[in-house]
Amino acid sequence: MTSPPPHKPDDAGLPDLVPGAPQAPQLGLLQKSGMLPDAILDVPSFDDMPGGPTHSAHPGADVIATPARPPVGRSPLGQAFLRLRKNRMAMVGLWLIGLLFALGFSAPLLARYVLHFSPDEQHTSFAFAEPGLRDVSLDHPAYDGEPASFATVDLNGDGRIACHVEPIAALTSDAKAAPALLQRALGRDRGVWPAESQVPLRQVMAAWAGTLRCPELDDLAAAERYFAFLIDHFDAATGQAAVKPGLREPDRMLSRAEYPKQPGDHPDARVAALAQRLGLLGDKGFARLDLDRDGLLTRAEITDAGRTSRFDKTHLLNHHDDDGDLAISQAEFPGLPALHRFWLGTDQKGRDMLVRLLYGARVSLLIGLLATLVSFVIGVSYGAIAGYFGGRVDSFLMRVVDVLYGLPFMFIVILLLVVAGRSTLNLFIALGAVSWLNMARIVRGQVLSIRRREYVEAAVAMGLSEGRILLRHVLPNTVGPVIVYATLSVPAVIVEEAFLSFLGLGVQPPDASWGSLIAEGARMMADRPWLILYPALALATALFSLNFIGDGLRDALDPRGSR
Amino acid sequence: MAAFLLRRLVQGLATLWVVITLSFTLMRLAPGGPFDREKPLPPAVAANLKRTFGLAADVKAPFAGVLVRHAVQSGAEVAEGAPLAVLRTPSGEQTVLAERDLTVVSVVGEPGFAYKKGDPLTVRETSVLEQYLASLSSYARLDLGVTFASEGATRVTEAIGKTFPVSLEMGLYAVTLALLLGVSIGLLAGLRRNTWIDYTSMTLALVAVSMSSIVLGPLLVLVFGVWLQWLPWGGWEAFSFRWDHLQVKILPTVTLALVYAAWFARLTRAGMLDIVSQDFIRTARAKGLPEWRVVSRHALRGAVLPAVSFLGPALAGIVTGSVVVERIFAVPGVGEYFVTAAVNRDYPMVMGTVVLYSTLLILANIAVDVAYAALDPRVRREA
Repeated sequence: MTSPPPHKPDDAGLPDLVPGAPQAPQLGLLQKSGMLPDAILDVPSFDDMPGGPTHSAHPGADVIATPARPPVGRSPLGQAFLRLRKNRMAMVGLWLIGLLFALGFSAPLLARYVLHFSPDEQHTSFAFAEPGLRDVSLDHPAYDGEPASFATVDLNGDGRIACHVEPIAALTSDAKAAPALLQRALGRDRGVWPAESQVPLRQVMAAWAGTLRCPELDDLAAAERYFAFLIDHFDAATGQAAVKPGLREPDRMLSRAEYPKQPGDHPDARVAALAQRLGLLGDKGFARLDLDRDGLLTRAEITDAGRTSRFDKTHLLNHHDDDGDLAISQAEFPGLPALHRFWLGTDQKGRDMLVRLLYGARVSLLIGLLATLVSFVIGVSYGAIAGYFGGRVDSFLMRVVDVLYGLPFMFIVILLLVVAGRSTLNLFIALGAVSWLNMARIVRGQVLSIRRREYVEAAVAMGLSEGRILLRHVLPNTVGPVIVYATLSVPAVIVEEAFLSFLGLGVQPPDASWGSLIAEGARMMADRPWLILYPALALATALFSLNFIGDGLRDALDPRGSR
Repeated sequence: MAAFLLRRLVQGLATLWVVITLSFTLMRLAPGGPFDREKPLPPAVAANLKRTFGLAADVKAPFAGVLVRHAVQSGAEVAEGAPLAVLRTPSGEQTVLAERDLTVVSVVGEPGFAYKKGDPLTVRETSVLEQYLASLSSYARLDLGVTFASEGATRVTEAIGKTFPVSLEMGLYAVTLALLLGVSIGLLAGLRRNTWIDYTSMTLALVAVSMSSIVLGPLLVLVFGVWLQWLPWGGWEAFSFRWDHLQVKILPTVTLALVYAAWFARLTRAGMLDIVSQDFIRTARAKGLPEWRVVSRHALRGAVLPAVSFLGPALAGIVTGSVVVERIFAVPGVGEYFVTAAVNRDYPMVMGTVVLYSTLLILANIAVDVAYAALDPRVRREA
């Protein structure tokens, strides 16, 4: 398609709506000779024909048209969208990126109401947990909704889990003087009273409210120490008790032989006495914990059975004591604490990687979008000014772009970040401020060619102001390439952000982005591959999707370029 | 050709000037500096430090004499024409006057000290313009200054010189691999159009183009280093060709090169398809030339043109990517140095690295343009 073929006879007598645009007749010729596949037949040469139906000029083309051709009169953008719909890769990309956006931007909701886990919650005993492990969520506790387990919690069998508020012993004498205490505490806040008479507000409130005591739940909570201790202490793993003979390393599992039989086996007498009272010792206790009856206690089983000991009593009373009598009856009992599963494992602080990944998606995608927006605004205005005014303005502005083009960008961004301080806001400003060059070049090229079109001359002849011509008649027709480039620059910016965060110059902890998660994971890649695998896969998915969408958009908006 | 080369060189110099000016401005805008201590330094020490980094200059004695007294003290602002010091000369006591407005950092010498003509008398702060001109001239002399981190003991050129061979070697391998792999796959796909070779390689290329070294590096390490245990990673011995040293270099090089190899493959395939439909290829075939000769003699040159024109951006990407790859694979290159310096605000080091990389990029881009002109007679004629 390098040299324009002669016009078809059909076109000869028709008013040529698009002088200087040889594409349409050219395509008609190719169509007849069967050189092009059907899929790209309906070529309206989008940026050449703003807003108008194009087919009337080429009746010959209409005759041969396939049924798949969009109805005459559809806007160029609408036709482009139809073509995009046919591109399977682009549609998959669109769905995937839509999913990522939805997940990322609903991350706080998902964390609170679906996963019941906050991004900052740290389970130090579960640091570097492998994917699939489960533990109770402390920040947002939830219950499994099965009242059947009530009997195991109701230790004294009176049909209710009774609680009471116990005034703090040390303050009981002060309780009567509470109003005076309060006055002193408030006085301290105003800075009226000398330092020695200051009373913390918490102490005053305790004198009124006291401590919440639920004897049954408190007993169970103490048993938690028994569960937490089990594997660390009793997993000998060598000698006859070992699960597999000859195993040198502790296997992080308990066999029946390793399990403590009687209170004397446990080093902490108080915990042992409690364990015996709760029937956790010996073969009977082992059987209670060994849920899958394979004769082995894994950490997961202990965590699972230990749910009875993980009640958050304040949360329980606040949310489930419906009649307000400070006791949970069988009817009110919401079940055992639900276990939160670390689907993607935990990091070195015992934070849930899935939740962090979701929050990271939000940061990464947002930076991609916002920085692209910044580069869009700068690039389009710069390119439009250069292209429209032409001459010396153009050559000066474009010489500046040429010079800037030779710069190593990431280094300039790093310099900018070092100077302006490392923050997420500065990050996207810096990224946007350096990535507008391509956009400016593309818009300038488009504007240069559009400026000479008849309809622009007509607008000039009508006496419209230059700003109005630029905004209403020139810029809207650059939209195709601009959309394509903007789509393709989102993944580029996301990668740049990942680079910077990876180097420790981007998003700062405790915030996380995919880049900073990959950086954390890269430090312990060999032992804990899941830390880097999932963020890397998430980033790769986003990059694939956005690139496929960009490619698809390019083909859809400019079908001439597709092969 | 000479005029073309000259124009590109001038443009390159302009770019370099912009880089230096930009980084200079950014560094001067940055809060904090190397002399921010909890305890203020004694004036003489501060003066020495500042002089090392070009932030202060000497006021020289205009004639020989013995100091009677200094007329100023540290921190004083002196207007033009005001007295700086009184010297006793054979012809009696003479006052040294300030030749310009200045701020005194420190005075040099006690009363009774004998100065020769041109000895430093006081140390004054230099203006931003002076500092800027001084750094421009020192860069012109290929002197990148001294690092803050070493308190002025190590020159930036030395610090970079130690690590640069590593980065250079990695970059060279990556560019070579990307070009060889990409161009040959692209040619193959273009020649065997619409066969399984074409489809497989182009699908793989599409996947790889969307990748980035930050994703690719960890995944390659996971697969080949951790799970399969085929290749070791970590460290880099510059220009050492022992097998165990070479083994370590495979993963970083592949990580850096693969994305660009995919780009080259796509571009070369497109170039090949474009070329083989041209008239001169048809003529060559009509003459009865064997196919390999048509390809190697007539088509190849034009087919690699798009790939060559992409070399510039690819080089920039490889330079940038090397910083990340060096971190992933614990390669002791310049990039790692640069990031550490940037975080610690070691401005001379940061600026030196930026200038070094910019120079490299500019030179490489000029080389690419020359190569392009050599390959394409049309460009040559225009130039």
